Amino acid sequence: MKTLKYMVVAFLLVGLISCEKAITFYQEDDRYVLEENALESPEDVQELLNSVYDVEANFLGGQLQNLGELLGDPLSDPTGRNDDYTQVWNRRTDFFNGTIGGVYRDAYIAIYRANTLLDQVDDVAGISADFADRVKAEARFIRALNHFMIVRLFAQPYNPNTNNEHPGIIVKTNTSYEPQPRNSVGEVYDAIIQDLHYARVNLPASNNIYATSWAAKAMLAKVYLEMAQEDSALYYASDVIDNGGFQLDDLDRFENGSSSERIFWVVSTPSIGDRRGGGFSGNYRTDQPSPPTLQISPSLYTYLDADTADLRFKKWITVVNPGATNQFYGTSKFNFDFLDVPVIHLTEMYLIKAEALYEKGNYADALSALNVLRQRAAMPDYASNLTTTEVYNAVQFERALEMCFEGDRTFQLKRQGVLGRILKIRGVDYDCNGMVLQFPNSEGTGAGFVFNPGGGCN
Amino acid sequence: MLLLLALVLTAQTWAQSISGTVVDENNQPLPGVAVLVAGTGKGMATDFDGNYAISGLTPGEATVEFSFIGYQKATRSVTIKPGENTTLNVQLEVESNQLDEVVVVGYGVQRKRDMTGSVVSLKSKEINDIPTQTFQSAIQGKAAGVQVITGSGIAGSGAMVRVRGVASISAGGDPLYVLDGIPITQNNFLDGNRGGFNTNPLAAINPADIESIEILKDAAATAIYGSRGSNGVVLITTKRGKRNSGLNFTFTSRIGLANPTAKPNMLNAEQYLQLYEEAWVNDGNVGTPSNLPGGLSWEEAKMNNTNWIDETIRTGVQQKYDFGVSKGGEKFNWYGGLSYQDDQSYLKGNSYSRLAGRFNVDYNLTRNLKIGASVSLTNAVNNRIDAAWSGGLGAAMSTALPIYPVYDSNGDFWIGAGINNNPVAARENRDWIAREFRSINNLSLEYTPVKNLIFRFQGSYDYMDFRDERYETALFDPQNVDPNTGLPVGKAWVKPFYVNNLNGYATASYLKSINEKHNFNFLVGTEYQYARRQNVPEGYNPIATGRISETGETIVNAADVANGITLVETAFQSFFGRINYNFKDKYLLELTSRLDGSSRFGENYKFGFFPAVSAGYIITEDFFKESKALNFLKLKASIGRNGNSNLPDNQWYGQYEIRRNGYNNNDYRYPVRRANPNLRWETSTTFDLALEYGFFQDRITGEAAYYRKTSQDLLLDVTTQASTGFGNWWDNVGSVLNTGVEFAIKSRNIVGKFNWTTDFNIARNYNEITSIGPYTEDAVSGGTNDTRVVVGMPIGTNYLVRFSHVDSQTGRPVYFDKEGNETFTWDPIDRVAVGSVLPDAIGGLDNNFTIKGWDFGFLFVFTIGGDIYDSSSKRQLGVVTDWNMRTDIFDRWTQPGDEATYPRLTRSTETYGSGTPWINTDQWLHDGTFVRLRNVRVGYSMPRDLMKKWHLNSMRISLIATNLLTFTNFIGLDPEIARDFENSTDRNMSPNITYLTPPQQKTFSIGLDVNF
Repeated sequence: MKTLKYMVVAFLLVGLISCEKAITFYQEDDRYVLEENALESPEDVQELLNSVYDVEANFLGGQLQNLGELLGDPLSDPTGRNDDYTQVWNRRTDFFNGTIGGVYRDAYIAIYRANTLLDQVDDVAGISADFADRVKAEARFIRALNHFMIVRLFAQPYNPNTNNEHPGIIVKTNTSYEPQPRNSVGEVYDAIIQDLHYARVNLPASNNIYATSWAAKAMLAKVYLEMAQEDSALYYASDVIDNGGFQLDDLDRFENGSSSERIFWVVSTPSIGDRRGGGFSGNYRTDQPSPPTLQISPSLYTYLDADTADLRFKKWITVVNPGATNQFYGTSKFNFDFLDVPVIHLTEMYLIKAEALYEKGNYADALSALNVLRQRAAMPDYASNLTTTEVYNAVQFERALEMCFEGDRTFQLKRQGVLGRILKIRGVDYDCNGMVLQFPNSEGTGAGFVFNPGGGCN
Repeated sequence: MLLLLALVLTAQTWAQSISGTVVDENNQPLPGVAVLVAGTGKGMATDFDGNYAISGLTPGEATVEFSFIGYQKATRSVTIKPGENTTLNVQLEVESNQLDEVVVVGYGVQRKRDMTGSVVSLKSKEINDIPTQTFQSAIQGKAAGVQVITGSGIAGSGAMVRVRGVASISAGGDPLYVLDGIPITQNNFLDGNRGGFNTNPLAAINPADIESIEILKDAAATAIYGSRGSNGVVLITTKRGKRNSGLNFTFTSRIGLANPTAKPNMLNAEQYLQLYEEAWVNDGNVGTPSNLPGGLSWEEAKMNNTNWIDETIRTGVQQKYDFGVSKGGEKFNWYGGLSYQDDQSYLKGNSYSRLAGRFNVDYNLTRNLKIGASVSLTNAVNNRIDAAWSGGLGAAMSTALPIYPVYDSNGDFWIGAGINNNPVAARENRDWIAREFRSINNLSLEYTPVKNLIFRFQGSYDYMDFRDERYETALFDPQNVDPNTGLPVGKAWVKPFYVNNLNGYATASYLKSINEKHNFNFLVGTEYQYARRQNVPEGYNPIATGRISETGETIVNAADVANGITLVETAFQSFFGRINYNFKDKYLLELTSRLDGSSRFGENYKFGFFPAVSAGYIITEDFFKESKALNFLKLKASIGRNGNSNLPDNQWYGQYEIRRNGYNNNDYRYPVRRANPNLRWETSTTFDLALEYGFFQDRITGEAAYYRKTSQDLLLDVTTQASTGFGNWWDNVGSVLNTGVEFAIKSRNIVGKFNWTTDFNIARNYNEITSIGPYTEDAVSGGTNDTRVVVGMPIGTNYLVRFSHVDSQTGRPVYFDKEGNETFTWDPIDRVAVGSVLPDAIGGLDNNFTIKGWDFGFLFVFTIGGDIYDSSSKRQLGVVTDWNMRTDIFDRWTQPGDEATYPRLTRSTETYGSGTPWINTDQWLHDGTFVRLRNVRVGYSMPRDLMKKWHLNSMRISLIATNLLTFTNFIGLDPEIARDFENSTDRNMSPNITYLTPPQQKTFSIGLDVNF
């Protein structure tokens, strides 16, 4: 009977192990930390901010820019080289396109992390008001930048002649899981402008490789031009040109290093083997054994081939395998092992300035802004007696050449479409359904989200 | 008068006798059968040749009884004639009174007669009558309501088991597997989806070691497993020495050949080029077609013709040897098993070999104290290859074109289209194995301090050591150069993981009988399980000459590997109890409950409670007593609640990941998961009503059942809007209904010298998602398989754009938009629910015949309804690209007026109204109905006198064929499909989807079974 007692005791003991501890585990080690312990110091906050830039660098690393180029006229048909690109080139994107989904996701991952900072930074112990303000301003700069990049791809362009109630994108200013419907294009631009002004006021003038007040001003110039608010665009572009301390550098602005013209940019870090800008180097390089995925369309080649003495043309545009059956046009703009990606740079400020001045009728100053760029390319200045059309063409041409394959041209063409100066882009209406990308499928997981109409442009 | 005469004669003489031979079901003599002439006390046992002779009987009517363990008692009436010897030969039938069988249930055993739950029990013989790598495949068609989809033809692939449909969407939908009391490691995704293949964690279990498998189906049976029972429970019991059974040896071997059940009908080079040219012309081009894939010119392409199917398949040789020894004494019983299996699949380079040993021992220390121990060790080596989307046969069915040569003009491998499009080069330049070491052990103690009170303690340990190792030669990456030599060099990878799974339980049971009418059996218990999995990052050696374990070369990222090991822990803490009440062997009642806590549940729901009640009434105790036909009828009903907690660990709390040296060489951290403190088990409430019957003294037995299972709080791995900046998260939001009927019958049609038994079962299950909370169809998706969750439709609904027809004027495909209007535009926005991967009904029909020493049997399995999505055919029969096509494409539009199945050939997706060649439509959806001759077996058991001469107990030689015939309308390869899956959501939602999935294997084997 003694044994029986022991048995009963043993039995109860097994049962009494029961406490929640025995069934509660957290994975907490060098790599993982609990959400509630994740932001406890300024260093933690800085690390979260670093992660915003980390994903931002992926977002801006080339795929985003390539999608823009593919919709327009700069590239030739990539059929057989990349199915996702082909879909974009055919301007018939569907919501399963993985490349589009990846770009879209990265934009909002950065925004989510930025919003997390905005939500929580003020509650972190030991944080100074200055530090908090800077973090918030950087967060809002990134948020604005990403909303802007995404709205241009996924929505029909901003139209200064309407109230812009047409569907835009989701403006994400919270960290909630709750599904949201799309905001109108007008609301999106309002949000972008608000964030950029906050950033302009609260960002420092210099901030290592990160966002500065000059970056915010440069972006304001870019966004205002997109909104056809030329006065504001001119104001901020001139401010950056005159007071920002940036210098035009050589034409290798994608080479890893320290181009003096970049205002906001993404860097590679060779010392740790960190390569960014893979969307450019992986798809355009002409110095690799296999032909690049993205090749220049003959029409753009012809357009840019205005003067073979132009250093920009000489340096960036090449004919590969000339005369052979496998001849193609390519760009050597991205032929670097380590790339930096200038997202906004001084060159663009001159181009914005020139265009804004043109729109205001100040042709002489417009041309002199362009001439600054031409001098670098060893080209003679434009004559001062050009006609309106010639000035317009000069503004368009200089922009097309300077910013080639940087993900700019299609949006410039669309803007010209909005302003009624062109109707077609590579044979289709500038605002046909296929000229905007379809949202990724997962946007529709919450009821109420309206996708872009399908059917392409044919 | 006659009677009087008889009496007189009886008095006159005692010279009458009876003699004869007793044989078994195979007409083999049965020694040791007790023969007794009723009422006389005269009897004897049969000798070694089954003969008996009893003399000294009185003439007249006599009743003779024959009894032998394991056989049904036979009773014969004879008239003994005066002065004569009466011959009476008897064939005994194997004990098949299923109702007196003892069946393993959770934490105990029960007499089948007394059971109120729904349990299917399969014995060793049924599990080993077909050569398989895994016991799951052997269940197929033998258990009503249990769907088994055997994995593909890849060696080592797992089967998919579904008990009464599927009641989970994102949580694991497989039943819980419990081996000798321990819920074993059963995660199919431990090694992800590498090479188009999920490893099978159950393949390490040797079917030959299994004594029985019990499949618990309803809440009454599974509630004792609480939060883990709702998708059914499979109890595996291994062999043990039987008390007083003496020393027994068994030797079994199977040697066979494996081939695919079907061969892909791909185009040859000439056909491919012809179609390419047709597309070229259709697209408005002129001249010699160019832009051929692989950079080949038209002339070069014409010179090649490679049949990549033949280059990737073969006849596989399969062999298995099992050796078992058992000894049963008064106090000490043991079983030892040693097994070696080496199965080549029909895929070149692919095999699975397993060396397994098991030793189970029981020892009665004292009269009331018993200990038991089990040790099993398995070492399995899977020679891996690429399959499906990853290459190999998959490449042969897709992007390895017939115009590509195997070798270039120098005799080197041609890799002009990438090495993966030369499956021969890829196979021969990659050495890839997955090795698993598995050990499942337990130790138990049973103590009976007083009569009817039993304490049982068991501790178990399941260890898995898995290592995936790969070596690729420099051909895979010629840029990879050895810095010392400057020459291209190979690379090697190694990725191990370890799972330690510990389990301990204690139960106390007490039997109490009051007035012999009220019989109670009480059981209480507590259990704790702890499992920890160590995931080790992949080790990498960029300068390799072979696999790391072979060469001993070092990895370059040793520090990262050491620092990157992540630990995933799981624990369950449980309390359970059961009361069985039996009144006069007529009324049965069972109450079960379990309280389960788990590390997987959120803070607000740490413990769940799962009760069940069931009752039975043996109708034949009161009614039909006079019936000659009906001898047993039991009505049983149960209602109960159980759960499913097969969700990933750690999902309930929020987490940040910290990384070093990121962008701009800064450390960074970011949120990877949001907290969900309400995360918990899925809850199923099941009602079950069943009738068990026996006719003609159990010549015909069976069961008919109805069930209705409503499952709520279903776990969804919800895809949030991309704009939330978060991917997926786990939430309890859905609900699903499974309701159905099952019918099983076992009939011994003919008994005698010739025996014929038939087993038949059929089950119909209706599955409907009744809610997915606030989400839409796309919130949860079955991977790339285009199945979605649609309210009002079954789990795994094919969600596709509808294809209408081929326009006879233009040859372009016509689709329907969402509203049903015809359109030339294909847009996934127009997807609708068009089919379901779940079958309407499943079942099996098994027949066994024996005559003299011969036995013959065949098993048909069938699946009625359900759709197959032949996902890869959209490329094999679509836009002309770098994919090879199937000969089905010959039925295509070529000129205006053609009514064709497939549209005009084109190289432009625009012709098909799409921006992509991945045009998913219901044109690729097919009826999944099939009937398959799962196996045919013929055996011959050697005559007993020969065995005596050879000093053997028995010896049987057999021929077994599997998957010999398949009847189906499916135009693809094999209608029985379990492809590779990405995760458990995919596994639940996308069976019956084929994507370059290798067909199953057809095997012919010769078997030898020796007993001595």
